[in-house]
Amino acid sequence: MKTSLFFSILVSSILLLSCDIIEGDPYVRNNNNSDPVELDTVKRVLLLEFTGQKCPNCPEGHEQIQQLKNFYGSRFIPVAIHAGYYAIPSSTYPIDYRTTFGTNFHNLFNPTSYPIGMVDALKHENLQTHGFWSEKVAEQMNRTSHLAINFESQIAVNQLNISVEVRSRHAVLPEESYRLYTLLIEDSIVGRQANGATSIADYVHDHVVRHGFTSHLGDSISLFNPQQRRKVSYQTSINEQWRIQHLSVVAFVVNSNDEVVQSGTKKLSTSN
Amino acid sequence: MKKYIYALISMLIALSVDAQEDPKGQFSGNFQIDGQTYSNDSLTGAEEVPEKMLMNAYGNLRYNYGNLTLGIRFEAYLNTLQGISKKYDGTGIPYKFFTYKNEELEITAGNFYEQFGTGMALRAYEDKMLGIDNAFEGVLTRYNPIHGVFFKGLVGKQRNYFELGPGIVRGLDGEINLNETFALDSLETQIILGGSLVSKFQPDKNPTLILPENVLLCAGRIQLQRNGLGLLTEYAYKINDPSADNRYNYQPGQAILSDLTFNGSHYGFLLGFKWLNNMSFRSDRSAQENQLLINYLPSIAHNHIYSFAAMYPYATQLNGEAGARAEVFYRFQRETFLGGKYGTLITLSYSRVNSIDTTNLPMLDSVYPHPSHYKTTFLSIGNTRYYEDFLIEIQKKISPTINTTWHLQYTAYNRQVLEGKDGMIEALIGIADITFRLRPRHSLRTEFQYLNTKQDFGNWVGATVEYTVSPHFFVAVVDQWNFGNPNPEKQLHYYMARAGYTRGANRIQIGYGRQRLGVICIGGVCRVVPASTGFNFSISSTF
Amino acid sequence: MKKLAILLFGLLLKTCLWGQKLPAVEIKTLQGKNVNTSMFTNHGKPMVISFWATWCKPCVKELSAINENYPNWQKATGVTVIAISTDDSRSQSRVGPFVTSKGWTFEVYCDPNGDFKRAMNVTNVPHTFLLDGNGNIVYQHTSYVDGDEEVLYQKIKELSN
Repeated sequence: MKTSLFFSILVSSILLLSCDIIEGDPYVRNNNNSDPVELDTVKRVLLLEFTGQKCPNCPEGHEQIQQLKNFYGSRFIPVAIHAGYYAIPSSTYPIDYRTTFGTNFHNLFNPTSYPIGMVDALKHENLQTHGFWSEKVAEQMNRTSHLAINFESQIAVNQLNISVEVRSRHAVLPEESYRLYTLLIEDSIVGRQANGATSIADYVHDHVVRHGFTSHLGDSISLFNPQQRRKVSYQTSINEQWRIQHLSVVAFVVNSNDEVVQSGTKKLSTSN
Repeated sequence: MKKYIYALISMLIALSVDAQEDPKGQFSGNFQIDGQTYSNDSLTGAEEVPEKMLMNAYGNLRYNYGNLTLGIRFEAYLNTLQGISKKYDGTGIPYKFFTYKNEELEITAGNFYEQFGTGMALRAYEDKMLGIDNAFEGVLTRYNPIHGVFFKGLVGKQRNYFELGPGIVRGLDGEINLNETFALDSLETQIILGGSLVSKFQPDKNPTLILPENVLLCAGRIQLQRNGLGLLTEYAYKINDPSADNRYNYQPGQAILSDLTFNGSHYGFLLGFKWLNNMSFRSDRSAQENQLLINYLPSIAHNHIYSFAAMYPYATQLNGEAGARAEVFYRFQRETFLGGKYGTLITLSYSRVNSIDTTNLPMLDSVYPHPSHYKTTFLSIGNTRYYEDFLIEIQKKISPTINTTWHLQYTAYNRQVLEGKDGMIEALIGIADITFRLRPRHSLRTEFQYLNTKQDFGNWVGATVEYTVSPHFFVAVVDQWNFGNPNPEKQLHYYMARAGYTRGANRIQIGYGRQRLGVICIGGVCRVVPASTGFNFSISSTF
Repeated sequence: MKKLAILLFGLLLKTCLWGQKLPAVEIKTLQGKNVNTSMFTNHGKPMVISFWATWCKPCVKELSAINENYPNWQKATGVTVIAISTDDSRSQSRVGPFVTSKGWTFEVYCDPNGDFKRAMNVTNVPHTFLLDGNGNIVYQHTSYVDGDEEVLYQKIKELSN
């Protein structure tokens, strides 16, 4: 009896000791999120998030994205794809954020729960609920890339001209096949969003996909020229609902294993 | 690997040869196979699956010799039946263990299930029909040093489909029955005290947050019994455990559960309440749904039997809820006015769950928002109704051959909170269940159900006719008609025909029809079945 | 390998035919006291062990049917019936008042985490076992339809003759 009592007190105290109470501010502060300018092949990590204005848990996912954005700055590129059941507009949620690109892309993966996203991958098995994103993003941040993505944009009356240039640091072999995706996203769209059992009328929707310059299958860019460059140009007419000052172009390159090897983004108007 | 299999087989043979002289050595086990075909049904929206047929199957084999027990379970999901996570797809042996047990000590190495107290601190369990299996893989010891004193200790990782979760769980539980330990035979009140400590470890790989890598949950419980009156109360406290479930909330969590019961000579009652805040506890802080839960917080709502009564089932809200229930059972004795010739049994049950009262705290700063930073007081009750139900059930035998059950129920289900859509659903349900014993071993059971609601899919009516021949056969036809569906094209009949054959512990059942999601109890077995159209079969055997 | 497997299967069947004994598992009384199932004995008379749950309609029907005949069965054969509730902590507290109001006179125990159920290889409730006077499982039956209790009683009578 005595020994077992002693033993159990010992074990309980070990268990009691093994707990970490975090006092005060729980955030890791990152003072080093400025972009190195000399190297344009810095790995940027892409999160393709499937969301919807009627999805009650999606704001939880957006919190995760905001935290990652605060931490990694421009090295983290989130893209919100409004598609699927929760993105269908209704009388309470009249705005339609869906796009042809978004719906087709969504149906390639057919997620069954939301929010859900893929970090640096275009694979069904990489669909993860929001709790897993930050760990995966951190893991991908340690990777390197041999590609650089640069943008040129030009706005003419109601026409938008974009060119995306992909450069490789090493020679691209003919058997390496890459696909390029180029999307137009818009920030700061105010509209109603479900949030748990309630909804927020003036919710700010960021990085919402507005247009796919490429199809949901991307554009093949296997033919690099001898300088290891590949330049692709796109154009589209400007939808009157889009606000130029909030638009950005996002491009990412996917390899034959459906992994995203590099991504990049640029705001259309550089005035602010 | 092969070498080990040979070694194991020869060991088993050696043991079983021995067993022929010593009847203690024995094999036992079971099989269960459930399959279903899925066809397109444009009316219900049920879809064909590429595999045409899906199947879940498993087999357990146990070997016991004296103080030693060995066991394995083979599982095959080829591919997983609809309604259960596709992540099970595949086959494997996720459950294998050996246990040594003597008078006072029991040690298990391998996979095991365990529950501390009511499960509020720790519960590893399996429910194959719901796709839940959070068994531990590790070591478990149970120690009974003196009469009435029980210790349990475990260390392990939890099952996550066919893999293990990333977290390590350490647990310790102690229980003492004061009357047994101190031989308090004269004491009329029985007192049992218990306590648990559970700690989990998971590395912090999150780049943006400093997460606690070790999280402790402690719980204490007391169970009193005096004559017919019993009280069971358990309280649990969990230190900061930010997770995807609680939106990375660093506040501690707590929970209390209390049940008062009374057993008279022909009546009894149950009064219970439950309050919890921030009590999700998983061995992976990113996990969702049913996966890697370390603790179990039972729903306080009534566990319904009939399919319409269980149309809107409540599930515990791990982030916070306040609930209460009351249930009275009364039997009017034979040869009394209300009891009649054979007695009458009346059950009244009420349960209600509300939100807890919370106040949001200001954000830490604008760059690092902390939205789920809220304050609550212990046992506070919020204004939002999550769930409510009230029912009255009368069971009456009318004649030696006719048995009846009458059931009336009101249910309110806050789908807005529980599923994030459609607001509150209120339903009235009426059920009549009548069994006729036609002649010895032949009986006919009829069941009529009606559900009235203005929300969701509107009104339903259902009928079941079941003919059974003891001890081998049953055949049943069910139709559930959603005649009140607001969309006239969806006013469908959900029909189903089933037949089964049972012989001892072997059972085979086949069926065809359309199925809604729900708990179905027919032909003697209860199970949860997802929506579909097609043939289904089920084979089970225990040996 | 194949030969070994066949041999193993043969031995398995052979050992199964010996008649299994009850495994030793801790379960609880309705008052929360721990009891080991190896203590279950009926002093040389047959014993029935029936797994059930309050939410399982056929289980309740079966036990009610047994209860109606229980005094006669006991008088004639000396059989003891033990009911094992597999209700988990959600409905475990209901078991006491539920049993009282039903007027069941046999012993009822709780197996809230399915330890005993697993040890007995029960897949679905109801599942009923019949043990002979030496504690060997001689008959078992899964599911319940009206009249099954008469079949069970036939088996009990065969044992006590």
